[in-house]
Amino acid sequence: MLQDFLPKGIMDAVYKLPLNNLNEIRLRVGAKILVYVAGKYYYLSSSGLSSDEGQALKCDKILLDEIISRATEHSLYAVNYQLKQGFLTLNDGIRIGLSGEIVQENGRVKTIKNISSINIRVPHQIRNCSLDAFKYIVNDKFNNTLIISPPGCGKTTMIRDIIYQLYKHRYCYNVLICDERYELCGMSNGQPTMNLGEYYDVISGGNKLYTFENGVRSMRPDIIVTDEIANLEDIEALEYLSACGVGIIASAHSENIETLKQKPHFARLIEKKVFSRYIVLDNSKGPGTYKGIYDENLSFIYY
Amino acid sequence: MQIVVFVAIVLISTYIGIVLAKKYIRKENFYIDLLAFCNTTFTEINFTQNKLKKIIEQNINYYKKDFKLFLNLYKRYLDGEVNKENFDNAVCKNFEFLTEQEIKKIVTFFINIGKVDADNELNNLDIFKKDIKGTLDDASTKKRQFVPMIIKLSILVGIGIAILII
Repeated sequence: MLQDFLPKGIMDAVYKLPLNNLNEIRLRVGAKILVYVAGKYYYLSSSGLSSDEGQALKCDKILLDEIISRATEHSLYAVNYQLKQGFLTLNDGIRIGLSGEIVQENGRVKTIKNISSINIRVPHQIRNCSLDAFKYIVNDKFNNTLIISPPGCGKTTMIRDIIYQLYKHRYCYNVLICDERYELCGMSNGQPTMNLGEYYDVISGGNKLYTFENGVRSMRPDIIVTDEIANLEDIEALEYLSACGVGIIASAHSENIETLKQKPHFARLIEKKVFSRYIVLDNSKGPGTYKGIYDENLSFIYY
Repeated sequence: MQIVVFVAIVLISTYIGIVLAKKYIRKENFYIDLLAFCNTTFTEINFTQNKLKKIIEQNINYYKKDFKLFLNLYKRYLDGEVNKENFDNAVCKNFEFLTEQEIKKIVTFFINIGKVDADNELNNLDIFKKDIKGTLDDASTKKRQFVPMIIKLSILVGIGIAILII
Protein backbone atom coordinates (compact mmCIF):
# COMPACT_ATOMS: atom_id res chain seq x y z
CA MET A 1 0.00 0.00 0.00
CA LEU A 2 1.25 3.46 -0.89
CA GLN A 3 0.58 4.80 2.61
CA ASP A 4 3.05 2.28 4.04
CA PHE A 5 5.99 4.13 2.57
CA LEU A 6 4.88 7.54 1.32
CA PRO A 7 5.12 10.34 3.91
CA LYS A 8 1.89 11.94 5.04
CA GLY A 9 2.36 15.17 3.05
CA ILE A 10 2.68 13.26 -0.22
CA MET A 11 -0.02 10.77 0.71
CA ASP A 12 -2.53 13.56 1.41
CA ALA A 13 -2.01 14.74 -2.15
CA VAL A 14 -2.10 11.22 -3.60
CA TYR A 15 -5.46 10.55 -1.93
CA LYS A 16 -6.89 13.33 -4.06
CA LEU A 17 -5.89 11.57 -7.28
CA PRO A 18 -8.14 9.21 -9.24
CA LEU A 19 -6.39 6.17 -7.77
CA ASN A 20 -7.94 3.71 -10.23
CA ASN A 21 -6.14 5.47 -13.05
CA LEU A 22 -2.88 6.19 -11.25
CA ASN A 23 -0.03 4.30 -12.92
CA GLU A 24 3.16 5.98 -11.76
CA ILE A 25 4.57 8.47 -9.30
CA ARG A 26 7.96 9.82 -10.32
CA LEU A 27 10.26 11.47 -7.80
CA ARG A 28 13.58 13.00 -8.72
CA VAL A 29 15.84 14.84 -6.30
CA GLY A 30 15.45 18.58 -6.81
CA ALA A 31 12.55 18.20 -9.24
CA LYS A 32 8.80 18.48 -9.14
CA ILE A 33 6.85 15.31 -8.45
CA LEU A 34 5.09 13.87 -11.48
CA VAL A 35 2.20 11.45 -11.63
CA TYR A 36 1.14 9.40 -14.63
CA VAL A 37 -2.63 9.20 -14.67
CA ALA A 38 -4.70 7.68 -17.48
CA GLY A 39 -1.84 7.86 -19.95
CA LYS A 40 -0.78 11.43 -19.23
CA TYR A 41 1.76 13.12 -16.93
CA TYR A 42 0.66 15.75 -14.41
CA TYR A 43 2.31 17.52 -11.51
CA LEU A 44 1.40 16.36 -8.05
CA SER A 45 0.18 19.31 -6.01
CA SER A 46 -1.28 19.51 -2.53
CA SER A 47 -4.72 19.62 -4.15
CA GLY A 48 -4.08 16.55 -6.32
CA LEU A 49 -3.47 16.72 -10.07
CA SER A 50 -2.11 19.93 -11.49
CA SER A 51 -0.81 21.21 -14.77
CA ASP A 52 0.56 24.31 -13.06
CA GLU A 53 4.28 23.96 -12.42
CA GLY A 54 4.12 26.53 -9.64
CA GLN A 55 1.79 24.42 -7.50
CA ALA A 56 3.78 21.21 -7.86
CA LEU A 57 5.22 19.50 -4.80
CA LYS A 58 8.98 19.12 -4.94
CA CYS A 59 11.17 16.18 -4.06
CA ASP A 60 14.42 16.54 -2.13
CA LYS A 61 17.05 14.07 -0.98
CA ILE A 62 15.59 13.80 2.53
CA LEU A 63 12.17 12.89 1.15
CA LEU A 64 13.60 10.33 -1.26
CA ASP A 65 15.74 8.72 1.46
CA GLU A 66 12.75 8.53 3.77
CA ILE A 67 10.63 6.84 1.10
CA ILE A 68 13.35 4.30 0.35
CA SER A 69 13.95 3.66 4.03
CA ARG A 70 10.24 3.04 4.64
CA ALA A 71 9.80 1.03 1.44
CA THR A 72 12.62 -1.30 2.49
CA GLU A 73 11.09 -1.43 6.01
CA HIS A 74 14.37 0.02 7.27
CA SER A 75 16.07 -3.18 6.15
CA LEU A 76 17.86 -2.46 2.91
CA TYR A 77 20.16 -5.44 3.51
CA ALA A 78 17.15 -7.75 3.16
CA VAL A 79 16.22 -6.49 -0.30
CA ASN A 80 19.65 -5.80 -1.72
CA TYR A 81 19.22 -8.59 -4.30
CA GLN A 82 16.36 -6.52 -5.74
CA LEU A 83 18.18 -3.21 -5.44
CA LYS A 84 21.07 -4.64 -7.44
CA GLN A 85 18.63 -5.13 -10.30
CA GLY A 86 17.36 -1.58 -9.94
CA PHE A 87 13.98 -2.14 -8.38
CA LEU A 88 12.11 -2.88 -5.20
CA THR A 89 8.85 -4.78 -5.13
CA LEU A 90 6.52 -4.22 -2.23
CA ASN A 91 3.39 -5.93 -1.01
CA ASP A 92 0.49 -5.61 -3.45
CA GLY A 93 2.91 -5.75 -6.37
CA ILE A 94 3.86 -2.08 -6.19
CA ARG A 95 7.21 -1.77 -7.89
CA ILE A 96 9.72 1.00 -7.29
CA GLY A 97 12.29 1.47 -10.02
CA LEU A 98 15.48 3.13 -8.80
CA SER A 99 18.36 4.99 -10.35
CA GLY A 100 21.53 6.00 -8.62
CA GLU A 101 25.18 5.02 -8.42
CA ILE A 102 26.03 1.38 -9.02
CA VAL A 103 28.62 0.01 -6.58
CA GLN A 104 30.74 -2.76 -8.05
CA GLU A 105 33.17 -5.15 -6.42
CA ASN A 106 35.31 -7.55 -8.42
CA GLY A 107 33.30 -6.74 -11.50
CA ARG A 108 29.97 -7.62 -9.89
CA VAL A 109 27.22 -5.25 -8.86
CA LYS A 110 27.22 -5.04 -5.07
CA THR A 111 24.48 -2.51 -4.50
CA ILE A 112 23.09 0.80 -5.65
CA LYS A 113 23.78 3.94 -3.60
CA ASN A 114 23.02 7.66 -3.72
CA ILE A 115 19.62 6.96 -5.22
CA SER A 116 18.56 10.08 -7.06
CA SER A 117 15.25 9.16 -8.60
CA ILE A 118 12.51 6.62 -8.21
CA ASN A 119 9.51 5.57 -10.22
CA ILE A 120 6.68 4.08 -8.18
CA ARG A 121 4.55 1.87 -10.40
CA VAL A 122 1.12 1.12 -9.11
CA PRO A 123 -0.29 -2.21 -10.29
CA HIS A 124 -3.86 -2.58 -11.45
CA GLN A 125 -6.26 -5.36 -11.95
CA ILE A 126 -8.59 -4.42 -14.75
CA ARG A 127 -11.21 -7.11 -15.07
CA ASN A 128 -11.94 -8.30 -18.62
CA CYS A 129 -9.28 -6.11 -20.22
CA SER A 130 -8.00 -9.21 -22.02
CA LEU A 131 -11.40 -10.44 -23.24
CA ASP A 132 -10.94 -9.28 -26.84
CA ALA A 133 -7.71 -11.20 -27.05
CA PHE A 134 -8.77 -14.16 -24.96
CA LYS A 135 -10.72 -15.90 -27.72
CA TYR A 136 -7.53 -15.93 -29.80
CA ILE A 137 -5.43 -17.24 -26.94
CA VAL A 138 -7.69 -20.15 -26.10
CA ASN A 139 -9.89 -21.48 -28.91
CA ASP A 140 -9.85 -25.19 -29.56
CA LYS A 141 -6.42 -25.29 -27.93
CA PHE A 142 -4.17 -23.04 -25.90
CA ASN A 143 -1.88 -20.82 -27.97
CA ASN A 144 1.46 -19.68 -26.63
CA THR A 145 1.17 -15.93 -26.34
CA LEU A 146 3.65 -13.07 -26.26
CA ILE A 147 2.35 -9.65 -25.24
CA ILE A 148 4.46 -6.81 -26.54
CA SER A 149 4.36 -3.09 -25.96
CA PRO A 150 6.56 -0.20 -24.87
CA PRO A 151 6.88 0.18 -21.06
CA GLY A 152 3.78 1.32 -19.22
CA CYS A 153 1.22 0.13 -21.77
CA GLY A 154 -0.46 -2.52 -19.64
CA LYS A 155 1.37 -5.78 -20.41
CA THR A 156 1.41 -6.98 -16.82
CA THR A 157 -2.21 -5.98 -16.25
CA MET A 158 -3.16 -7.91 -19.39
CA ILE A 159 -1.26 -11.01 -18.21
CA ARG A 160 -3.03 -10.88 -14.84
CA ASP A 161 -6.40 -10.74 -16.53
CA ILE A 162 -5.58 -13.63 -18.88
CA ILE A 163 -4.77 -15.76 -15.81
CA TYR A 164 -8.06 -14.70 -14.24
CA GLN A 165 -10.02 -15.40 -17.45
CA LEU A 166 -8.58 -18.93 -17.63
CA TYR A 167 -10.05 -19.48 -14.18
CA LYS A 168 -13.31 -17.68 -14.91
CA HIS A 169 -13.90 -19.64 -18.12
CA ARG A 170 -13.20 -22.83 -16.19
CA TYR A 171 -10.23 -23.92 -18.23
CA CYS A 172 -8.68 -26.13 -15.62
CA TYR A 173 -5.12 -25.49 -16.69
CA ASN A 174 -2.50 -25.62 -13.97
CA VAL A 175 -0.88 -22.24 -14.34
CA LEU A 176 2.58 -21.68 -12.89
CA ILE A 177 3.52 -18.04 -12.53
CA CYS A 178 7.22 -17.26 -12.65
CA ASP A 179 7.17 -13.97 -10.78
CA GLU A 180 10.79 -12.98 -10.96
CA ARG A 181 10.22 -9.44 -9.72
CA TYR A 182 7.29 -10.11 -7.37
CA GLU A 183 5.19 -7.92 -9.62
CA LEU A 184 2.69 -10.25 -11.27
CA CYS A 185 0.88 -11.52 -8.18
CA GLY A 186 2.26 -9.34 -5.41
CA MET A 187 2.81 -12.33 -3.13
CA SER A 188 3.30 -11.27 0.46
CA ASN A 189 4.45 -13.85 3.01
CA GLY A 190 3.04 -16.63 0.85
CA GLN A 191 -0.33 -14.92 0.40
CA PRO A 192 -1.46 -13.53 -2.97
CA THR A 193 -2.51 -9.90 -2.75
CA MET A 194 -4.39 -10.03 -6.05
CA ASN A 195 -7.31 -12.17 -7.09
CA LEU A 196 -6.13 -14.14 -10.11
CA GLY A 197 -8.47 -17.08 -9.61
CA GLU A 198 -7.65 -20.41 -8.06
CA TYR A 199 -5.75 -22.42 -10.62
CA TYR A 200 -2.30 -20.98 -10.29
CA ASP A 201 0.91 -21.55 -8.39
CA VAL A 202 3.59 -18.94 -7.93
CA ILE A 203 7.36 -19.16 -7.74
CA SER A 204 8.70 -15.72 -6.85
CA GLY A 205 12.15 -14.24 -6.93
CA GLY A 206 13.95 -16.89 -9.02
CA ASN A 207 15.38 -16.33 -12.46
CA LYS A 208 13.43 -17.74 -15.39
CA LEU A 209 15.55 -20.77 -16.23
CA TYR A 210 15.73 -21.91 -12.61
CA THR A 211 11.99 -21.45 -12.13
CA PHE A 212 11.10 -23.16 -15.41
CA GLU A 213 13.34 -26.17 -14.79
CA ASN A 214 12.25 -26.70 -11.24
CA GLY A 215 8.66 -25.66 -11.77
CA VAL A 216 8.13 -28.09 -14.65
CA ARG A 217 9.59 -30.91 -12.56
CA SER A 218 7.84 -30.16 -9.31
CA MET A 219 4.49 -28.55 -10.18
CA ARG A 220 3.62 -30.15 -13.57
CA PRO A 221 2.17 -26.97 -15.04
CA ASP A 222 0.10 -26.83 -18.22
CA ILE A 223 0.95 -23.17 -18.73
CA ILE A 224 3.82 -21.07 -17.44
CA VAL A 225 3.38 -17.32 -17.20
CA THR A 226 6.31 -14.95 -17.06
CA ASP A 227 6.93 -11.26 -17.47
CA GLU A 228 9.50 -9.23 -19.37
CA ILE A 229 11.54 -11.45 -21.64
CA ALA A 230 14.67 -9.46 -22.30
CA ASN A 231 17.95 -11.27 -22.87
CA LEU A 232 19.39 -14.40 -24.42
CA GLU A 233 19.16 -16.27 -21.12
CA ASP A 234 15.39 -15.61 -20.99
CA ILE A 235 14.95 -16.70 -24.58
CA GLU A 236 16.86 -19.93 -24.01
CA ALA A 237 14.68 -20.55 -20.97
CA LEU A 238 11.57 -20.11 -23.15
CA GLU A 239 12.96 -22.50 -25.77
CA TYR A 240 13.53 -25.04 -23.02
CA LEU A 241 9.94 -24.59 -21.91
CA SER A 242 8.57 -24.87 -25.42
CA ALA A 243 10.49 -28.11 -25.88
CA CYS A 244 8.89 -29.45 -22.69
CA GLY A 245 5.45 -28.98 -24.23
CA VAL A 246 4.32 -26.48 -21.63
CA GLY A 247 2.13 -23.56 -22.71
CA ILE A 248 3.62 -20.07 -22.39
CA ILE A 249 2.27 -16.60 -21.71
CA ALA A 250 5.00 -13.98 -21.66
CA SER A 251 5.64 -10.32 -22.30
CA ALA A 252 8.40 -8.26 -23.83
CA HIS A 253 9.21 -4.63 -24.43
CA SER A 254 8.89 -3.66 -28.05
CA GLU A 255 6.99 -1.06 -29.99
CA ASN A 256 5.59 -3.40 -32.62
CA ILE A 257 6.21 -6.67 -34.44
CA GLU A 258 8.80 -5.11 -36.74
CA THR A 259 10.92 -3.80 -33.88
CA LEU A 260 10.54 -7.13 -32.08
CA LYS A 261 12.03 -8.93 -35.07
CA GLN A 262 14.99 -6.59 -34.98
CA LYS A 263 15.72 -7.22 -31.31
CA PRO A 264 18.67 -9.54 -30.77
CA HIS A 265 17.62 -13.17 -30.32
CA PHE A 266 13.90 -12.55 -30.70
CA ALA A 267 14.04 -13.43 -34.40
CA ARG A 268 15.01 -16.91 -33.23
CA LEU A 269 11.81 -17.24 -31.19
CA ILE A 270 9.73 -16.04 -34.13
CA GLU A 271 11.48 -18.38 -36.54
CA LYS A 272 11.00 -21.37 -34.26
CA LYS A 273 7.33 -20.40 -33.84
CA VAL A 274 7.57 -20.67 -30.09
CA PHE A 275 4.60 -18.28 -29.91
CA SER A 276 1.47 -18.62 -31.99
CA ARG A 277 -0.12 -15.38 -30.78
CA TYR A 278 1.46 -11.94 -30.52
CA ILE A 279 -0.63 -9.28 -28.83
CA VAL A 280 0.61 -5.75 -29.46
CA LEU A 281 -0.49 -3.00 -27.09
CA ASP A 282 0.11 0.71 -27.02
CA ASN A 283 -0.95 3.79 -25.16
CA SER A 284 -2.84 5.67 -27.85
CA LYS A 285 -6.17 5.49 -26.00
CA GLY A 286 -4.71 4.85 -22.56
CA PRO A 287 -2.71 1.85 -21.33
CA GLY A 288 -3.85 -1.49 -22.74
CA THR A 289 -5.01 -0.25 -26.14
CA TYR A 290 -4.91 -3.08 -28.69
CA LYS A 291 -2.73 -2.33 -31.67
CA GLY A 292 -3.12 -5.78 -33.16
CA ILE A 293 -3.04 -9.52 -32.65
CA TYR A 294 -0.87 -11.66 -34.89
CA ASP A 295 -0.52 -15.38 -35.44
CA GLU A 296 2.67 -17.46 -35.56
CA ASN A 297 3.34 -16.33 -39.15
CA LEU A 298 2.96 -12.72 -37.97
CA SER A 299 -0.22 -12.36 -39.99
CA PHE A 300 -2.69 -9.86 -38.69
CA ILE A 301 -5.71 -11.60 -37.17
CA TYR A 302 -7.33 -8.91 -35.05
CA TYR A 303 -7.42 -5.16 -34.89
CA MET B 1 10.05 3.47 70.19
CA GLN B 2 13.64 4.63 69.80
CA ILE B 3 14.52 1.31 68.18
CA VAL B 4 11.67 1.68 65.69
CA VAL B 5 12.80 5.22 64.75
CA PHE B 6 16.39 4.02 64.47
CA VAL B 7 15.45 1.18 62.15
CA ALA B 8 13.17 3.42 60.09
CA ILE B 9 15.94 6.01 59.54
CA VAL B 10 18.43 3.32 58.55
CA LEU B 11 15.90 1.76 56.17
CA ILE B 12 15.08 5.10 54.53
CA SER B 13 18.74 5.90 54.14
CA THR B 14 19.46 2.45 52.68
CA TYR B 15 16.55 2.84 50.26
CA ILE B 16 17.98 6.17 49.07
CA GLY B 17 21.32 4.40 48.61
CA ILE B 18 19.68 1.67 46.55
CA VAL B 19 17.93 4.25 44.38
CA LEU B 20 21.25 6.03 43.80
CA ALA B 21 23.04 2.74 43.08
CA LYS B 22 20.32 1.56 40.69
CA LYS B 23 21.60 3.90 38.02
CA TYR B 24 24.74 1.78 37.74
CA ILE B 25 22.75 -1.49 37.67
CA ARG B 26 20.35 -0.20 35.02
CA LYS B 27 23.20 1.06 32.88
CA GLU B 28 24.99 -2.29 32.99
CA ASN B 29 21.78 -4.19 32.19
CA PHE B 30 21.00 -1.83 29.33
CA TYR B 31 24.40 -2.41 27.75
CA ILE B 32 24.17 -6.18 28.29
CA ASP B 33 20.86 -6.19 26.40
CA LEU B 34 22.15 -3.82 23.75
CA LEU B 35 25.11 -6.10 23.10
CA ALA B 36 22.80 -9.14 22.98
CA PHE B 37 20.56 -7.32 20.50
CA CYS B 38 23.55 -6.49 18.31
CA ASN B 39 24.66 -10.14 18.36
CA THR B 40 21.16 -11.33 17.43
CA THR B 41 20.84 -8.74 14.68
CA PHE B 42 24.27 -9.70 13.35
CA THR B 43 23.20 -13.35 13.09
CA GLU B 44 19.82 -12.52 11.59
CA ILE B 45 21.32 -10.26 8.93
CA ASN B 46 24.04 -12.77 8.18
CA PHE B 47 21.77 -15.77 7.78
CA THR B 48 18.02 -15.21 7.63
CA GLN B 49 18.11 -11.57 6.47
CA ASN B 50 14.90 -11.00 8.38
CA LYS B 51 13.68 -7.43 8.40
CA LEU B 52 14.49 -5.21 11.35
CA LYS B 53 10.98 -5.06 12.78
CA LYS B 54 10.68 -8.82 12.67
CA ILE B 55 14.02 -9.18 14.46
CA ILE B 56 12.80 -6.81 17.16
CA GLU B 57 9.39 -8.46 17.51
CA GLN B 58 10.91 -11.93 17.76
CA ASN B 59 13.32 -10.94 20.52
CA ILE B 60 11.87 -8.03 22.47
CA ASN B 61 10.53 -10.16 25.32
CA TYR B 62 13.97 -11.55 26.11
CA TYR B 63 15.23 -8.15 27.21
CA LYS B 64 14.92 -6.37 30.54
CA LYS B 65 12.57 -3.46 31.16
CA ASP B 66 14.81 -0.58 30.06
CA PHE B 67 15.97 -2.03 26.78
CA LYS B 68 12.47 -3.28 26.05
CA LEU B 69 11.25 0.29 26.46
CA PHE B 70 14.03 1.51 24.19
CA LEU B 71 13.05 -0.99 21.48
CA ASN B 72 9.41 0.01 21.77
CA LEU B 73 10.38 3.65 21.25
CA TYR B 74 12.52 2.60 18.30
CA LYS B 75 9.63 0.62 16.80
CA ARG B 76 7.49 3.75 16.98
CA TYR B 77 10.21 5.57 15.07
CA LEU B 78 10.34 2.78 12.46
CA ASP B 79 6.58 2.91 12.10
CA GLY B 80 6.82 6.63 11.39
CA GLU B 81 4.82 7.52 14.52
CA VAL B 82 7.66 9.71 15.81
CA ASN B 83 10.41 11.51 13.95
CA LYS B 84 14.14 11.36 14.70
CA GLU B 85 14.00 14.37 17.01
CA ASN B 86 11.14 12.98 19.08
CA PHE B 87 12.82 9.59 19.29
CA ASP B 88 16.00 11.28 20.50
CA ASN B 89 14.05 13.31 23.10
CA ALA B 90 12.18 10.23 24.34
CA VAL B 91 15.46 8.38 24.84
CA CYS B 92 16.95 11.34 26.74
CA LYS B 93 13.85 11.51 28.94
CA ASN B 94 13.62 7.82 29.79
CA PHE B 95 17.26 6.82 30.09
CA GLU B 96 18.78 9.40 32.41
CA PHE B 97 21.47 6.89 33.42
CA LEU B 98 23.02 7.28 29.96
CA THR B 99 25.23 10.25 29.21
CA GLU B 100 24.34 12.67 26.43
CA GLN B 101 27.20 11.34 24.34
CA GLU B 102 26.09 7.73 24.84
CA ILE B 103 22.53 8.57 23.81
CA LYS B 104 23.78 10.35 20.71
CA LYS B 105 25.91 7.36 19.74
CA ILE B 106 23.15 4.79 20.32
CA VAL B 107 20.40 6.80 18.61
CA THR B 108 22.64 7.51 15.60
CA PHE B 109 23.45 3.82 15.32
CA PHE B 110 19.81 2.74 15.47
CA ILE B 111 18.68 5.39 13.01
CA ASN B 112 21.26 4.17 10.53
CA ILE B 113 20.53 0.44 10.76
CA GLY B 114 19.09 -0.94 7.53
CA LYS B 115 20.44 1.75 5.25
CA VAL B 116 23.24 -0.26 3.63
CA ASP B 117 23.75 -3.71 2.13
CA ALA B 118 24.38 -6.76 4.32
CA ASP B 119 28.21 -6.68 4.18
CA ASN B 120 28.39 -3.06 5.27
CA GLU B 121 25.64 -3.61 7.82
CA LEU B 122 27.66 -6.43 9.40
CA ASN B 123 30.80 -4.27 9.41
CA ASN B 124 28.92 -1.44 11.11
CA LEU B 125 27.50 -3.84 13.67
CA ASP B 126 30.95 -5.24 14.38
CA ILE B 127 32.39 -1.78 14.98
CA PHE B 128 29.46 -0.78 17.18
CA LYS B 129 29.65 -4.03 19.16
CA LYS B 130 33.34 -3.43 19.91
CA ASP B 131 32.54 0.09 21.00
CA ILE B 132 29.70 -0.86 23.34
CA LYS B 133 31.66 -3.83 24.68
CA GLY B 134 34.12 -1.23 25.99
CA THR B 135 31.30 0.84 27.49
CA LEU B 136 29.77 -2.30 29.03
CA ASP B 137 33.10 -3.24 30.65
CA ASP B 138 33.32 0.27 32.02
CA ALA B 139 29.72 0.15 33.30
CA SER B 140 30.36 -3.25 34.93
CA THR B 141 33.50 -1.98 36.66
CA LYS B 142 31.67 1.08 37.96
CA LYS B 143 28.79 -1.08 39.16
CA ARG B 144 31.18 -3.37 41.05
CA GLN B 145 32.96 -0.40 42.60
CA PHE B 146 30.11 1.93 43.40
CA VAL B 147 27.03 -0.16 44.12
CA PRO B 148 28.35 -1.91 47.28
CA MET B 149 30.06 1.31 48.34
CA ILE B 150 26.93 3.45 47.96
CA ILE B 151 24.78 0.93 49.81
CA LYS B 152 27.30 0.58 52.65
CA LEU B 153 27.66 4.35 52.86
CA SER B 154 23.92 4.85 52.90
CA ILE B 155 23.57 2.37 55.75
CA LEU B 156 26.38 4.09 57.67
CA VAL B 157 24.92 7.55 57.02
CA GLY B 158 21.54 6.23 58.18
CA ILE B 159 23.05 4.87 61.38
CA GLY B 160 24.93 8.16 61.92
CA ILE B 161 21.80 10.26 61.43
CA ALA B 162 19.81 7.93 63.67
CA ILE B 163 22.42 8.19 66.46
CA LEU B 164 22.52 11.98 66.16
CA ILE B 165 18.72 12.26 66.26
CA ILE B 166 18.16 9.75 69.02
